[in-house]
Formats: sequence, C-alpha cells, structure tokens
Amino acid sequence: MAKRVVVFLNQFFGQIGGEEMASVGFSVKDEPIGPAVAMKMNLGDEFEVVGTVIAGDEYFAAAPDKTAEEEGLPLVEPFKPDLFLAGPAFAAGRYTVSCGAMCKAVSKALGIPVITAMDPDAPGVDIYKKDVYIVKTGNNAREMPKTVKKMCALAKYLCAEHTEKSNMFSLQYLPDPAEFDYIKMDRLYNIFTEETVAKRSVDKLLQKVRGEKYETEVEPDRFETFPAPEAIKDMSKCRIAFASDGGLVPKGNPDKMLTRSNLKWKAYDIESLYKDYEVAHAGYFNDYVLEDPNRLAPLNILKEFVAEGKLGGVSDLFYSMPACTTVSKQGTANGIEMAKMMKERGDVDAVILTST
Amino acid sequence: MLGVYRVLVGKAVPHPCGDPKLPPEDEHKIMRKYMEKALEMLQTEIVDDTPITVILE
Repeated sequence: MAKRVVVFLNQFFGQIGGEEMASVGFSVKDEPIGPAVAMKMNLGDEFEVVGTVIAGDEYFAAAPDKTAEEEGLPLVEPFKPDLFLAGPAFAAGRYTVSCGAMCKAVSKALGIPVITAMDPDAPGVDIYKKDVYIVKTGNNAREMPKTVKKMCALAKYLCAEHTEKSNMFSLQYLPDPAEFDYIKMDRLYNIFTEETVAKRSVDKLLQKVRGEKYETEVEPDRFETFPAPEAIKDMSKCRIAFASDGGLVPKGNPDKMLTRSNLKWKAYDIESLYKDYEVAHAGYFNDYVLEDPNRLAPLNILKEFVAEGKLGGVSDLFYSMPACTTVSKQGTANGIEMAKMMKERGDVDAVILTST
Repeated sequence: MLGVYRVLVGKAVPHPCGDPKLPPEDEHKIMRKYMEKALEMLQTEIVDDTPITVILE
C-alpha cells in the first residue's frame, strides 16, 4: 500500500494569493497543490499525496507553535499520514518558522518522518533544526525543482525499512547530513572508522595548518550576532546591574540551582544576597568567592563609585544564572528573559556580566 | 568569539575581579581598577562592529 503524504504550504505556494492574502487562516485540499505536485512526481508510486494543508504567513506569525499544535495538527491527523512535508520555505522569515512549527507539532504528535527545507541562515533554522529534518536550500525559489528532489530523496530514506540490526541504538540510521544535504540536528550516532580519534584529529590539524581542505567532525555552536550596544553617554546618570554565571545564590540555595548543567536563573535582592550566600557551581574552586563575593562581582566598588558621584546607581537585583557545562542556547534564552525583566522594571541602563 | 562586544579579561577563573593573594587594601585597589576599566569600556563606542577585548596590566 502506498505511503500517505500530507504537505504544508503557505498562501502563496498554496495558490491562494500573495502578501494581500497573508492573513488567511487554514484550508485543506484533498489533493496535491503547487510544490506538492512536484513532490508527488518525485516520490513515485510508493507514495500518495493525500492532502495539502495551507495557511497564511501572517496568520501563523503571532504564535507559531500554538497555531501549529492547536489548529494545524487537527487538520493533518485525519489524513493518517506516514510522511509530512512542509515548504520548501527558502529564506522567508515567517514561512520558515511556520514550516518548522508544523513539522515539529506533527512529529511530536504522530511520530512520523517530517521534512522541510530552508536557507541555512533563515530564522526557522535555529528554532527547529534539532526537531525537524531541514534540507538546505538557497535563498531563492528558483531552486524549487532541485530542493523538492532532495526532500524526496531524504523522505524515501526515512520511510524505507532498515532491516540491518543496529548494534547500539536506532539513531544508527540517521541519514548522513552531507549525503542528503540537510542541516545537522546535533544528534550522535555510531560509525566504524579505520583510524582512532587521535590519528584523525592530528591529520585534520595538519591539513588545517597546511591550508588544505578538511572537514571537521565536531562543529562548535554558532553564536548569534547582534548589534553592538550603544556607549553610555553620562556615567553619573547610568544605573548598572550585575549578572553572573558564577553561581552566587542565597544561603541554602532556595531555588535549587544545579552545580552542573543548571538551566534556571533568578534575580535576587543584592543586599541580602551579599550578606548570606553560597556558591552553586562545580566548575571552579569556590573558596575565594565564598570568602568575598566582591571578587566575583564587586558591588563594594560600584557603591563607592555611586557615593563619589561617578556612577548613577546599582540595581537592587543581582541576576544569577549558575552555569557550569550549561548549553549556550539556555544562556541565550535566559538572557532574553533577564533583559525583559530589566526593561519592564526600567531601572537598568547597562549590565556588567561577570563569569568564572 | 562569543559575540560580546566589550570584554574585560578577568584576573583568574575563581576570582575574576579580585586577587586573594594580595593584602586586603591592595586587592581593593585591583577591584577598583577592574570596575573603572569596565565603566570606561561601557562609555566606549563600538566601531564597525569590532569587539574590544582588554587585558589589565
């Protein structure tokens, strides 16, 4: 029996209309539309495109995950799909996010393979790359035929029965990101190699030193780029807050911050904190900070500056996120929350972030 | 590398803004130096998105 495929498209590729129709809600067709027709051809007889789900870019934009889970998913489910495809969305801001959100919601609820396609720099990539197969595209819809072909090749691999027994765990059948040209999901799987890691590392290092081409086996996190914060014009009016990953928390660690891989943050009253504290951080020798937390974040000095008229003020809150072997993504997420709180309170003009 | 535009290199991992080896009054001086430099950097414009990294002597 042919595998059942449902495709998600925006209003433009779903042939409803352009930007003037971007606020249109969901609609469902019992047939392939637009790119879904090309998918049907590329997938061949073993697949049947049973439905196309369409929604406007703007309609999705306010709350992508909620819209996908509460409105999109209930429209996909009745088709009983074996495979879900979304896009390609190329570099489109809202469309890459709606495709990612739909794929994630469907994958989570139905456990079937989901594939979309985007430009590696598109906004949807960072949000959904760990949950969704995202085939790489350029930033232009001219690449439609090539991209659909790649999506379908990956779809066939994911839907095929892999009869070999895995010797470790099922991720053994993770398709090779290079072969299928999709964005790495940071998953680990086992492969057999002829050479030890020591030999491979040194070989690659030598290639690098010689200026030869080499491919890394481990890619470091990419850090987001953002505009440089403006310089402070008048320090005597500036109010500064301390934020730190050094693990300074109130005595007794009331929020149960972890000494390793901690994910939480909290803003503590700075005066009480400096009077009665402990350190929740397993990544450095804590004694010096336990003796004097000013070595981590010199509140004593900032108070002197305020008294001398050099500085406008110090926030009454200390923004603490103990971070030892914590994933950097969580730092980003927590940093956004901290900044939001500072803005809402409106009592901070600059932040000094100290780290151990 | 981290995408932070103003970086002041700390004294050491377990005491970024102080130095327990020094007598208290000298350590206090060093803490002041760090914070004075931090305020100075906050007042420095970033040009061409080029991050500044400062190591105190």
